[in-house]
Amino acid sequence: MKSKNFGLSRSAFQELLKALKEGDDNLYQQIFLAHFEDCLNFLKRQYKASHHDAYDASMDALVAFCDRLKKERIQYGNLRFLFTRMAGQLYLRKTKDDSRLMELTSEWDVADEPDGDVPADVMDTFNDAWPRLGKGCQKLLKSFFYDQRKLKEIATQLERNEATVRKQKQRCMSKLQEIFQTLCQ
Amino acid sequence: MKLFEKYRVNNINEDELSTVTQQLIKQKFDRELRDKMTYRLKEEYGITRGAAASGRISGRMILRWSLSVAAALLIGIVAWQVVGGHSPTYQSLTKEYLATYYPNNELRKGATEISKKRSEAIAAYNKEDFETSARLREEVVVLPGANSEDYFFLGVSYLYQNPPKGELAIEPLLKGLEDPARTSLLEEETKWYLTLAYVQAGQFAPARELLEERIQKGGWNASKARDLLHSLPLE
Repeated sequence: MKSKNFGLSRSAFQELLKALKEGDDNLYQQIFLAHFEDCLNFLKRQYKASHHDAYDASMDALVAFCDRLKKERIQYGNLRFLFTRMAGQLYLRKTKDDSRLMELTSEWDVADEPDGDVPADVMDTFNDAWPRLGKGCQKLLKSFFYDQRKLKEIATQLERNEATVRKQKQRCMSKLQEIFQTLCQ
Repeated sequence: MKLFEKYRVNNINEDELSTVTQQLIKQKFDRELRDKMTYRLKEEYGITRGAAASGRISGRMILRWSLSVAAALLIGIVAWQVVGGHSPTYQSLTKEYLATYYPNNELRKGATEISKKRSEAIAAYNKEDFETSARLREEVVVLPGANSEDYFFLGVSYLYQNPPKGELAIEPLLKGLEDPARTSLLEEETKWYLTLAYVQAGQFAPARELLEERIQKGGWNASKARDLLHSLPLE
């Protein structure tokens, strides 16, 4: 069972999820990067992918898999299979090999449609705005929007009530938007 | 109008604000994760996007690492000899930590007395005229509607003066933390500058307590806190 799950036992998998939810992706990187080369080779062998296409698809899969884990949309059982499947789908989507993609999605639709890319100038301004936001706001917004933690969990950790944290999240979003707007002027 | 344009011109409802914020944060941190993994793949596994995987760590890489380690050791020894192995003092550390000014991103809007005064204080602060900024904030904090950010910027305006006025900074920074609902957006920053104010004022016991709290929490400024804690004189 462990070999199907990147050497992780069920309890180690739970530890990994906990760390990810707390914003620590070191363990995730450590485990999954050790298998990056296997994934590359699988894509090259299975789909005759070029090295850089296989690299991009494996990297996309690593990021998407991490997101799915945090959303608790992946269960312990056969992580290796799901991961390589996801990388395959992402590769076919990128190379627009729709006929082969259909074969894969009909059976296992593991990779989400990607969100539309944020325009580069917007992202540049946002990257300038983010460090100007208070540390408390940064932590709260990242925990909620990126680490996928529930407001209730965040409130418990901060020893505040949920309504206060909800209000604070709203203020933090507004503050971030204000900073963004100031930088746009 | 596209969602990002709405975000830029503040013509956005609550749900849309949440959607855009999520998308921006996700893209930012996904990018960071990608960069970290790209770096680790290259350094630890010798795998890059451009070149085929070498499979295992190459001899060349081991040689490069060995040379890097040797160079780092050599630099360390030379640096130790130059500075005589002295650890930084708490005075030099606080000076270093106060050398970069905390950005002021408050919006200048409104026609009320407090808004006007606040605006002037922000302008002075951003011109690095901290004496004026402190004087104006002193006037702001006695007006109705003063908030924890006003106390924060009053405190840091005292600290950034030359020489820093640690003792004067303590009270407003403590006031900035006196928020029963704990809704301050700058709580961690306020505590950090309060620590520096205590150190500047020679009040090491409360500074030590705040530094230990910062270290225990980890993350932002934890390593700076550790260095400062070790540099404080024993009482």
